[in-house]
Amino acid sequence: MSDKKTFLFLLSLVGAIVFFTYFFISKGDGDIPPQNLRSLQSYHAEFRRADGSPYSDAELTEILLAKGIPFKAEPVSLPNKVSSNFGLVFLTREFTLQQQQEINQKFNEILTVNFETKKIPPNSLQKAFITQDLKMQLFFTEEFKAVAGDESRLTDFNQSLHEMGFWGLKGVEIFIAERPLGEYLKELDAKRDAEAAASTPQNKYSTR
Amino acid sequence: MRLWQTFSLVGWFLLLVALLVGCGENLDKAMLEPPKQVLLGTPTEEDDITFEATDDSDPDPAPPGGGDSSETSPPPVETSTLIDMGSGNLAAEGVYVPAAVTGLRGKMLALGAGHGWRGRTSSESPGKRLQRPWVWPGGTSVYSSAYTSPVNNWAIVEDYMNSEITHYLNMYLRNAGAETTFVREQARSRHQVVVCPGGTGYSESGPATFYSSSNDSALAAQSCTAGTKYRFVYGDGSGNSSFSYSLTVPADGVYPVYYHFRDGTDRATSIPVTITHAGGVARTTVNLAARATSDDAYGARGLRYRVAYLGEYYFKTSSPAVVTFRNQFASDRIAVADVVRLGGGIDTIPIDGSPTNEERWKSSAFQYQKFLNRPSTVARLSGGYNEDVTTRPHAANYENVDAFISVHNNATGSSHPYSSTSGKGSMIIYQYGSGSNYKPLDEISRSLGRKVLDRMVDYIRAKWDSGWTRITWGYDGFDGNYGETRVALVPAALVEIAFFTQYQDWAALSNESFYRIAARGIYHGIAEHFGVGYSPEEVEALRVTITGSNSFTLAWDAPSTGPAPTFYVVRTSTDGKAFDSGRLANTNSAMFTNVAAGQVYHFQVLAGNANGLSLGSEVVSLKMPVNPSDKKLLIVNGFDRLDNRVNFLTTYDKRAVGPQVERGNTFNFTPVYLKAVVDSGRAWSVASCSNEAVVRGHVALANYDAVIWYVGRESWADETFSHAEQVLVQNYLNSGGKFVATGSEIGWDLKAQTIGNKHANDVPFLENYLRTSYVGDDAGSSTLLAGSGVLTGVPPYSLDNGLQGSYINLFPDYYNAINGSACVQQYNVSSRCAILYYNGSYRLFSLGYPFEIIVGATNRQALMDKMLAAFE
Repeated sequence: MSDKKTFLFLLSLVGAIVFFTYFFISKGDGDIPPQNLRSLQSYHAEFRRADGSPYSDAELTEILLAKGIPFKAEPVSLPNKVSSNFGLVFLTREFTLQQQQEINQKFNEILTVNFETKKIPPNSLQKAFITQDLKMQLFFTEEFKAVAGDESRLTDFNQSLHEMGFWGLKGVEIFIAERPLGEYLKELDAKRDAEAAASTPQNKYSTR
Repeated sequence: MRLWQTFSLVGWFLLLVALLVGCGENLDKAMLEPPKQVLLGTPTEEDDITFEATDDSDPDPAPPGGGDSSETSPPPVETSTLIDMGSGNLAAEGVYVPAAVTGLRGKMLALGAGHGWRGRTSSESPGKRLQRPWVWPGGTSVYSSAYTSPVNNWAIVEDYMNSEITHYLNMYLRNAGAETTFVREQARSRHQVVVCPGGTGYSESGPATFYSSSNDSALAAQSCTAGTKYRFVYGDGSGNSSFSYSLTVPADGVYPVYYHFRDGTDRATSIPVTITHAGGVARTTVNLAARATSDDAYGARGLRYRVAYLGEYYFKTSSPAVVTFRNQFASDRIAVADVVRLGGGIDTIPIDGSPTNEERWKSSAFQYQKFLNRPSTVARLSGGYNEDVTTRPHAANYENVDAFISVHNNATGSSHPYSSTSGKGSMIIYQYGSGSNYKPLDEISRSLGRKVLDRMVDYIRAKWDSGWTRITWGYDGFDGNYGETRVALVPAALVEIAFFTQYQDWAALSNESFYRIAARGIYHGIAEHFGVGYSPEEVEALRVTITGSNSFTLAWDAPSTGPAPTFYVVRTSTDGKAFDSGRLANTNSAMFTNVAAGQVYHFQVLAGNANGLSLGSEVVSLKMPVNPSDKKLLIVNGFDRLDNRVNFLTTYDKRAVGPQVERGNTFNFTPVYLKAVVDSGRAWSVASCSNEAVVRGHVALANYDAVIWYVGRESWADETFSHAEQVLVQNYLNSGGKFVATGSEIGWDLKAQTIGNKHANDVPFLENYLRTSYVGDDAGSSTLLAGSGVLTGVPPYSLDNGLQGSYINLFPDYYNAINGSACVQQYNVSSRCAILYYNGSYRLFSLGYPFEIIVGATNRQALMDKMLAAFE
């Protein structure tokens, strides 16, 4: 065997061993077999009432849970109402056009719910971007101050956006009348702190 | 190249690869574990201890009867190889944290379980309501958070679930030596007993002068009368004076012990405290000194309202709990005598003029902080009429903790539950300001948050679902201004563990095993943030076996995954409920000698290393023989399923009629069996073990006259009887053994289910060895008729509805006789047999339900008595 062939053979061998080793080690990383869940519906044939009639989906779910049986629930095919049609502006090339459409669709679903439940005032959103670092920037009108001043509404709105993380987005920065939300809240927090401190009686005794 | 050269080369490469892999493993271990160290000192002469290592590699030694006949009269003092700790910091459940544990010692963590019952916002109708919608598993309903009727069974309720996950996180952190404080009540018990300074149950003794303060008690106007003042005493260096609290609980059960006090820079930092409970006396110290400067935004000038956790113990109505503080500290320091509280209690602070009357652990942070009398700088309602988001971080600031962790779960913002495009997976939120909103603290929160998320997802992927999703939202940090992290003045992170509106995540959140996994993952992240390693996982294959007429051995296997333990803590009980705070073992076994005839013990073991303690093991139980002729019984615990659906009742509220919420497997049912044996008065000794101890060959069934093997509500996933277990049982029966099989899914698992974990031997084992013909999965009854045949004399009885001390009866199998067996007890439904008996080449009882859920000790005694009689 020539030196060149020996070299190639060794190279292949090393490659094979490296591949084998990598495969072996990476197989060991996850010791849980892939889940191949049966659907909820498939269990209807297996679990029936004593008279042979079927359980409802909810009753069947309870049975499966009680017995520790995993299942795959079918997504409910209720159409999501999307009344808003806000266009996100993508300042990044991270997403394909198809992905951009999907992200826009999801964002508008979220907006619609927030508008309908009056979590945020309709028409208060002026413009929205996906930045190069994959964050959302949402620019609201002064009307959004009502949301910012209510921790409940602000938290709910923030949380409603969390599922955008499933699309690779990394967070949201909110602006009110072009001013960062944080600046507005800093002033609001200071005012709240002062009010709370004023209603907190100072201890007039020693600590004994 | 010749063939041998090729083989040689391959061999060298494989060796090299093997070495590399080996080095990698060692490197991993080296990164995870501290160096081995000798942790245990030589016992002192005062200790009644025989210090000797034992070798647990031998199979189960022969039970008494044949050996140790040289002993004519047992020595009077029982000895063991365990080492008393005397006192110590208290981990979860009142276990001592050994001095060797440095892990998170000195760190205080605030834990924030999100949400809880709150009042209305200005636009809502009056009344209490949950803060988050809750989801019914049919996939068709999301109930509004304003829906205040009893929460449906099986529902996912984020307001409660966050607390249940935090419960496990607290255990991991405390077992690592950390102090923890809560923004919501954590004690999941509705009972509460309080003794106030100067009130009934409070007493002072000794020569020291006790003074009454001008300041209000920590719980004045809450659990104590308005205007109640705390008292204080100076130290004398020797502890000649003390103040005590005597409390009688309204029901037997486990209660946490809290000490409410007002802090200050003049308080002693190490005040000796003893807690007398049903399992013994725990000795610890408490630090009443202020953790923060006395003058800051919270305006309290010291005198902050604080709560010290003094462990969690079993208390009985028949004997009062006694908590005693001694003035053994420097004479220029004081101890304040304020309030001792047992249990969590009911929230009676009005919302819209009416108390919620919910258990306090279900209420919001605002309600709890008000209960603690904390000022309005902490208990805040910002913006909305009853929004308490910022109360949580303010509570963490108030105590100046080392880190604040909020535990939450997500819901989708847009789509219906189970939508195919719903978000799923885990994410982290921390404040990372931009521009003038940035502060150096944000960097620490980033480090904390990322580590918590990374390690939690790692652990979920390793233990639950290798494909678990980690979403990107929040990981890099953003100027999000969430109330829960924005106002934090300490490192803070909010972890969203899963989306309860997504079906796979929802299924995970329906399982207590997942709570435990997620909590341990979060603990890993916190430990990494503070630069320390991890505590070990739980011990395995626990067993207690009798080795002579007056000696026995407790042994266990080190955990097969995670950091290696360097010592163990063994807890002991004489009733199986009330345990002591633990003794040390430096090997994975302990020997006991000079044990009295007929003595009963129960044990639980924790693994430890310098980073902390594991959670507790299952409980094993033992009864020493009275006479050499006593028969030998082995109880095997095969009930491994950890799932809160084991005892999940129709509403969250029903279970709370007991002192402690317990929905999952308590791993503490072997004592129930042992008590039935003892109560029967039959001449049997009892050893017990986990099923793993049998499978691994540590315990040989052949050494016992009879074996009871229980699997509870274990189902297909954990396997009622694996093939390996079937073979061992078959061998035992083939040699003429006596056997009891009990559990609610044995027949269904081995015969009917088609889901998985099937083996060709399942049905032959069920029908040819257990002599059981499976008929149906649910007998449709929780009552049994009187026994017949060998069980004649066993009265009718009921099975637990979930409120009788064990867990709910669900899907009890019903059977037909087969291959020579006969039905000896029926459900209260025509032709549905609950218990089969076989008397042939071996003897066997096959129960279609778990023995431990029989209601009433006398009923359990009656059945056990008849079964043992049939075996004699």
